[in-house]
Amino acid sequence: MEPVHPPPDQDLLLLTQVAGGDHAAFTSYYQRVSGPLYSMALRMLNGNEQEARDALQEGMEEIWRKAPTFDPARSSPFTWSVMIFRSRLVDRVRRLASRGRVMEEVAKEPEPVADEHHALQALTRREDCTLVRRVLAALKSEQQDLLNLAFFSGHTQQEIAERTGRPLGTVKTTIRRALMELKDRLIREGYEA
Amino acid sequence: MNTDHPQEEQAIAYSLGLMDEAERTSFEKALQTDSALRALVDELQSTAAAMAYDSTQHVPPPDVQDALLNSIRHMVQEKPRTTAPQIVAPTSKQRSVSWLGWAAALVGVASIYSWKQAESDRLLAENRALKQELSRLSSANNTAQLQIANLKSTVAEYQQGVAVVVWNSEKQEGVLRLEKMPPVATGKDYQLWVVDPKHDTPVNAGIVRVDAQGFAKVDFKPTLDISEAKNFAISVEAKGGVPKNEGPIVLLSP
Repeated sequence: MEPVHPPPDQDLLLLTQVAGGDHAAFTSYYQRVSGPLYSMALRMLNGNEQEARDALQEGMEEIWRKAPTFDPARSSPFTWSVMIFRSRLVDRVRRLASRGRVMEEVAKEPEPVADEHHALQALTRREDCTLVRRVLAALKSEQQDLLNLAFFSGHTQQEIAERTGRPLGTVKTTIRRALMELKDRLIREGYEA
Repeated sequence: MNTDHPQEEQAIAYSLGLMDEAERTSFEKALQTDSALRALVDELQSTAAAMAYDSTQHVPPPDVQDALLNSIRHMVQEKPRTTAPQIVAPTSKQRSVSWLGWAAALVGVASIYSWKQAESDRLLAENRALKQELSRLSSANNTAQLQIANLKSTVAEYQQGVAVVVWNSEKQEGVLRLEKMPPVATGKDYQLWVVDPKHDTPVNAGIVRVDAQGFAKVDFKPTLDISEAKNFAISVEAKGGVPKNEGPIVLLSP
């Protein structure tokens, strides 16, 4: 297996320029990361395009604001951006859930839609996307389900336990093993965040 | 990866965003004082973030980009986090430090490079890329004459330390980033020096105070004009610094 070497330097340089208030660099950075972020938002918001669009704008504004605080010694620009974006997204999901406006079941990804081919072609890191999907698919079914719920549902572990009817301890152990196994497999496959 | 940390379970929950607000607030307090826990979370978040790819990929609506650019036009950015005081170097007046944002990030890249260098020859290529980038930046901005230096130590106590300097000879200013530095003894400070053949003794560039994790990222300006920054050095001196180097040099650039 050929190791995958994504182009982190380009992201790093762009994010550094963004930190200096460079609007053109922000446009370029947006174009590199907005696809995965928007796709994640659509999934977490159960396909609600208006909410996903608002989430993308809100999350990218947060990335703009916080860019000067990014520390390259701690994470890659992509990891940092996903974590900032997802944090705002989870708040949105929980806020909507409290108003009864969000659907419950997000563990199962909907069938691919017609525009995914186009979206994948536009994706800066197509190889990473393919690699992560392949590695996740190799996990046990229960691990995949709980890890997906953990990442995409916005629920706490207690809530996941209640919704899946599994003991809390089992949920915690399964998620822990799944994440560690995912990490190990990604490293073995040469994935670099 | 550290998988033996007693708070590993919480670190996983935090990295996946599974905590409620109270748990998150409490955990973030622990993160501030536990560098091993911080490192564990950083690694776990890197894995968790990869899951963003496990969604059907969609192209965002094109008008979001325009709306976003409009909204950020007057949006104020947060200030960079600094975890240590600025270097104390006597200086007549402040100069513009707009280039320092660039330099600080490059120091970050370089420090990552320094840390990994011992692990893999692959990073030699990254070093070349970094230097090429520096060269590109310098040529793109004729006013910027950037020089990067990795400081090393032959003293066992300091060999874990990572010290990187980015120096702008035209501006006569620089950025120093330190990591994993041991604490200095009571009544002592680290002090940065610039070795310039034009001067008989190293030029004082100020004292540096690292935090509890041995980290500092500071801007500096030597007390005298530098013609050629041949080396950068860090010594341990009396608290508050000294005008001429007296204490042991613990880190030195090649």
